[in-house]
Amino acid sequence: MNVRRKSRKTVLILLFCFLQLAAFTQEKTITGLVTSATGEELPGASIVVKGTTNGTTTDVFGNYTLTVPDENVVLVFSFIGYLSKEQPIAGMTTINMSLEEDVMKLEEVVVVGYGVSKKSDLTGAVSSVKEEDFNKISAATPEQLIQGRIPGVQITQNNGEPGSASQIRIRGASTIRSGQQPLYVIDGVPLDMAASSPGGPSANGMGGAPATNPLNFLNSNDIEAIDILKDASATAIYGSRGANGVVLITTKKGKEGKTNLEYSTYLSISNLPKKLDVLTADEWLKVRIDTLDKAVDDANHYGSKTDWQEEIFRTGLSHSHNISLSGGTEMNSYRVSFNYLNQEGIIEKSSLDKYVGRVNMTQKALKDRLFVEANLTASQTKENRVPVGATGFEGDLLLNALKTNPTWPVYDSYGAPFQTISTEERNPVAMLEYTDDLTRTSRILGGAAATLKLIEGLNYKLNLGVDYTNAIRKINQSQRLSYLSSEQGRAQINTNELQNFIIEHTLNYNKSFSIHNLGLLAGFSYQRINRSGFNQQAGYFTTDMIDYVNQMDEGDPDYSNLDSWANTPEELQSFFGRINYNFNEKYLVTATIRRDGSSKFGSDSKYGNFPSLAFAWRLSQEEFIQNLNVFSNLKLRVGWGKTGNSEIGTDNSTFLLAPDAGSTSIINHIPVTGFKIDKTPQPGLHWETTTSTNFGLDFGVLEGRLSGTIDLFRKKTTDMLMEQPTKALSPTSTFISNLDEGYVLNDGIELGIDGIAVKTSNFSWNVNFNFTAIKNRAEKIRDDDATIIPTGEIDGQGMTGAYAQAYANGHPMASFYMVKVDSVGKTGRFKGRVYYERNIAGTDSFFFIGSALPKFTWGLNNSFRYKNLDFAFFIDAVYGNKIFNNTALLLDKTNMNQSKNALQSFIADEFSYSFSSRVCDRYLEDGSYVRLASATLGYNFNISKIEWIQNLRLYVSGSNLFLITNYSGYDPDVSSSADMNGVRALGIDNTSYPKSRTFLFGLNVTF
Amino acid sequence: MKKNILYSALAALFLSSLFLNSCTDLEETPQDKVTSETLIEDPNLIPNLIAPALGQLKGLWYRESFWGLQEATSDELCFPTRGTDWFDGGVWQQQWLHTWLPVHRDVGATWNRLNTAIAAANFGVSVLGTGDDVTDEIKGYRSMLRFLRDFYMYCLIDLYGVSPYRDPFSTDYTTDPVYLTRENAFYFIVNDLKTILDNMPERAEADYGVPNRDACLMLLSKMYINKEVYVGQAAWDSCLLYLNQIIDPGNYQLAENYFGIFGPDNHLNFKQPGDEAIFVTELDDDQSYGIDDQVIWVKHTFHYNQFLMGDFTNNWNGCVAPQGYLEECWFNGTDTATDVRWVDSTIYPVMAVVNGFNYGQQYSTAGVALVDRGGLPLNFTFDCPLENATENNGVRVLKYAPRNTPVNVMRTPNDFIIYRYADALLMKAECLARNGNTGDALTIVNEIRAKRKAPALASMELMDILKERGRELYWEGHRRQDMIRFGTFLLPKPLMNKPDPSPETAKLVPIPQTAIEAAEGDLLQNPGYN
Repeated sequence: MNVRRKSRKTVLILLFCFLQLAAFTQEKTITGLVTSATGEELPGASIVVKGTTNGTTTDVFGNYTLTVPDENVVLVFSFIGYLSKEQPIAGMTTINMSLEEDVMKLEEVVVVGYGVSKKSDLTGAVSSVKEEDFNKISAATPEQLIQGRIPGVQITQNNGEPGSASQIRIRGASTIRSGQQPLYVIDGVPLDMAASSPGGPSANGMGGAPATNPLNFLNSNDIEAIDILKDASATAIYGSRGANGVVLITTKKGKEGKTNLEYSTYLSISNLPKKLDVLTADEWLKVRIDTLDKAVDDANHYGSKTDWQEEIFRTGLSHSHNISLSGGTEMNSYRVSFNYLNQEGIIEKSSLDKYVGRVNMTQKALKDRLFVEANLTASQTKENRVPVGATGFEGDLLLNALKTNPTWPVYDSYGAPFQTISTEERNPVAMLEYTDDLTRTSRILGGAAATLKLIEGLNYKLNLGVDYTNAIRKINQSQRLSYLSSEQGRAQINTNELQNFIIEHTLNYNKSFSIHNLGLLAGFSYQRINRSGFNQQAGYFTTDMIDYVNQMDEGDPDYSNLDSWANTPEELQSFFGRINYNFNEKYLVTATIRRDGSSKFGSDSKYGNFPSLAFAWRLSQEEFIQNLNVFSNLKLRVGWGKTGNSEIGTDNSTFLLAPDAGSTSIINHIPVTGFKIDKTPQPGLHWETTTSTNFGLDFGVLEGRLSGTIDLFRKKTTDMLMEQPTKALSPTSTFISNLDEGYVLNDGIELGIDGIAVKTSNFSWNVNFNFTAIKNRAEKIRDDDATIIPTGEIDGQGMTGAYAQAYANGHPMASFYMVKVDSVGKTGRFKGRVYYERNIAGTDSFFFIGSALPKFTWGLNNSFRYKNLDFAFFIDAVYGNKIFNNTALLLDKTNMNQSKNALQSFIADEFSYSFSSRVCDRYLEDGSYVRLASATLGYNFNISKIEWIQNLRLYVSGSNLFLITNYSGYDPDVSSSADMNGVRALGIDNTSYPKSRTFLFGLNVTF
Repeated sequence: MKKNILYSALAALFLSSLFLNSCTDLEETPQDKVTSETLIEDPNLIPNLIAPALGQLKGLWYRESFWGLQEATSDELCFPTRGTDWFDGGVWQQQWLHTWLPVHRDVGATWNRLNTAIAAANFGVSVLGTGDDVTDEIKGYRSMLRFLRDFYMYCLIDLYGVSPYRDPFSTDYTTDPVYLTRENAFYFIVNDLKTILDNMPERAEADYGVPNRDACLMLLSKMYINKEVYVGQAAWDSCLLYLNQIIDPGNYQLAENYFGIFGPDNHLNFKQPGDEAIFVTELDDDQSYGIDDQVIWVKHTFHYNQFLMGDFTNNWNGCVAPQGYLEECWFNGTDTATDVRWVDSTIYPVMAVVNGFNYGQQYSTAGVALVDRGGLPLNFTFDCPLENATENNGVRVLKYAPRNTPVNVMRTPNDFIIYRYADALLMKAECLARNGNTGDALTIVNEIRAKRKAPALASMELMDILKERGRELYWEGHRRQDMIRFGTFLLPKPLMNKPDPSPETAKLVPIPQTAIEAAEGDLLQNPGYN
């Protein structure tokens, strides 16, 4: 035993007192090579001394070295997808082993709700992405690991800010309201996806920044697999929360017989792929003087030449370090990891720092009757944010970097950022320098589970989980900002506290009776979610020598504001069961039911039932198919199920009064707090229901070298929960209720193909392709076809209440609805009578012009390996969607009259400079794109001579390398928040933080 | 033995899990709200029951609410579109042109606000009950709540021609309300006001900021003066009957300082000599009360580059006084050189703007000539087009001048005067004139004009009273109603791009689309909007 191993053992004993490692005597060293039957080396194959925990794995070239206690042992060789083999040592010192491929290669295990399933036994539509197939990018959050990889799953990054959230839609947009997120379950603990980052309503005309990603607390390196349950037959076991699909995240655990110390790191540089083409100072002056007849010495010509985009963008440097230690014995396993990520945004000052520690352990006890698992994730993220986000007409940092007068100097003669007295003209550099916005989020996710074998085949499992988040956001806006000078600065401290507790009991019975295989599951689950927080605000500070957030008591008490809140606890109580039956591995049936009760719903309808039924027929097990000698796998699947969506807030069904500022009166100069009727009773409030039907076909031909999945589905969402107008003389003007007749249909086809194009011992080429087309439409959501539900709020001066989208009968969700620019005269006057807002029936000026939902999407991945070298590239494409470019609207040529900058592309066109911008198709653009999303080149060093290194890999990768699109904004993969009255808006680009292009240099080493 | 251990372990596990969570009834337990039972149990909270119904008043005098619908549709106020600025989906142009549709933003928002206000009043009424064995104080509170309910219903029939009614003691809001026609609502409101009149607190005892008996009389007068419009039957004598109960006791006098009525400390006028305020809503700049930026129009009208007092920033260059109105009411109706209501420059040295009408070149408080955002001189012109107006177009009005040292530029300390004495006098003059007694009417009008340092009128016709109302009560939220009563509301406004008369149906605004849908067939759209 060498010293290194001994010290490691010490560490382990300290960490896990119950951990036992076998002692070694009479050592002997065996070496060898593990290959496939075709001669291909198998990296990562496992070699274990039979009946012990002593073992190792092969390096990337299939070589292994193992020290065994004596000569009378048997080695067990195994590798996923291959049949295991045993080999007695019998005096040999070199044992080369060739493993036979498991014919079907289908024994891949997929995580499903409350358990795992062999892929061959699946009856529902489930997609699984394992670690090796993740996007090789510097991913701060898990969903970026699978963007573009899975048929039927569309992931849109809201923006490019470090740590920003994404929109994930599984099989289309199925509801009108905002609650469209899938359910996330991490190692059996369903997460509460409420935004953890506290909001920050900010200075005059500068709104709150978009919420950051609640999944930021996860370390991408800890994730082993992401499984997505797509159809109702798979998600119905999650009942009222399954309608938007379920994302199951499985973290890595220690493996028996191998002790691994892994270190991986990368350094990346990011920059802005393209700047928007606004006028340079020279061009701007030329238009002002030549076309607009402004004097050369006009008061608004300041004489400098400033490229404001240049002033706020930078090259961001990021680095990440990840270290993990894992191992295990027959009785227990452990994995400990620590991750540090420092990500600089491409806008000055913006950054994300993240520390994540994770411990995973398992232990068997009571003679293998009890199996205990425990894990703990502790993370802290620190986000430095910049004033980018929803704006008033004065604009956020980005808009000001685009529209600010290019003749302004950046700094004045005193070296401070140049500012005018006007509150609406804002130097973006001043906004950056004089604003500090820091969010710290601490999150602890702990889970523990115990499985007890009661009798053969029958297991009881207790699952406990606690998820706790505490986030604090401090915003400091200096009085040096001209627009805050009158209130002498502003400080805000906002906090959020979220707590999520879950307990689950399940009974599982699995038994085979000759050719009948039966699996039964019954369970109970209870979950409670609490949220609370407080917001403080102060202004009128005498000095900014000290950060305001550190001296809020020094602000003028008359102007400070304190607001604290606590949500009604959200409770969910459920009973569920599942039957799996398969006959001779040919005919498979799955039936599930979940009865869910939620505190959010009305007293008459607390509980809902969510059944599902699915059949599969493994044709490839039938003789007549086997005789064809074509298919290595052929399976037909049919599934039906009902799932629910309960993503609404609490307090929507009970009669409640709340103190309300708007109801407060002043009597005799003394404020009297009014209690306003906040919610009226809704005893009938219940779930939104999605019924889905799925037809699927899995196939494998050419001995499994070409395999794939095709799914056809229909999803129908009824009883949609929506904010609706109340009947007259209700204390509230709207209430959340179920839409009686309306429904939303998603009809779609999904295709996923995996191919092994070339496979020799030196060279291999794998191809994966996925394709999704979904047709979406809403029906009967309005009593008559002539009325619409507006959404897609547009920002800008004179744009109060303006919107760009509408939901209407017979149209896809998030359809764009606006006047066409043809009906706008080129002088800026509308032709004919001015009817800006007409309903559909009477329309002569408003049109439905496309939707933000794509007609189809596809992704193509190619990976090559030649000896030690590997190369992969991934192309991601979206076709047929529209984007409303709100940024362009704010940069139209009329800005030139107000001494502001405009987009070059508008200057040349025939519209007049006094053209009054409206929400019209002048700003509606095709959002289709084809993107070289990532490319990676890696090299595995041959380190077989270095005994203490198992694996060493260096790689270079680039993401967002190449983009083909007609979209004129920074990036078509964008979604600003523009919801109106809780109605979901999509595909609106309003000065979103642009996505970066990133190059990454990485190193992975395993000891 | 082994099995026993196993089973006891199992039992222990189940038992412990039962302690961790017993089955829940899934009832919501609110943390930052209360149920109605909690509130009713505490008698000290009665004023808190009045507050919501009273509090809704604050939000009516706002550009996107009742005030906006009464003013921006009339001839005395307009929000022109300047480039993209103030287009706002066309709402302002539609108001000026009377081309609103059932989806008009402010038509919907105002309906909702008035409905919410009635519901808040109803809720208070339901809590205070109906029994007679209660204190006079409780009776007073009940009457105030009913007065407020009646006031909001009056606002609804004035704009929409219909008012929903719901029994205050019914809290099942999924049932349909009764929709009262304008005529039915008229009789309901006047009967209810007459019933509560004697339980309303007298002005001498009443708190400041709550409705008193005089407010009730004034609302009755408003109902009767508009009876011809609402019901098709004139009732000038009934109006005079209630007006005289306000005027005759002599509790009110015309103010010596016209703009003092609206000043930042106007609550100090209460019960002082020269107090004109009959019905007010108290406002405060310390707290937002949920209505930041909604009052009182300073920001709506002045230009971005004007900094009143040097630091009253953040103005939005919105509404103007249209040229047609200026010519009719001012240039052909009075002597702008002496009439204090036209220009009062007392505050100019501090704020660089005047009370009344601001026109011509504007200056900073330091005396520097201001320019607009495009660099042109900031010179407010009398003319102003409806669309493609420049930043300089249009005369700006200041009535509720801000405080010298603003606490918060988004808020106001000035209390809003809903009804005042001069209005009562002009209504009396109108009723007299309509009864043929133009002599006494002229005396009243000249009494007011004398206080305002305007030359006396030699003779008068009925329409002179509308003009005088335009000079006395401009931008106070009465103009649309007045113009409809005097028959001028539908006329073209050619100087500001409205060359055509409006259809007769424009005298009512449409019922909001959302209300029609929610009523499921019980509520018919007003004619002309289908």
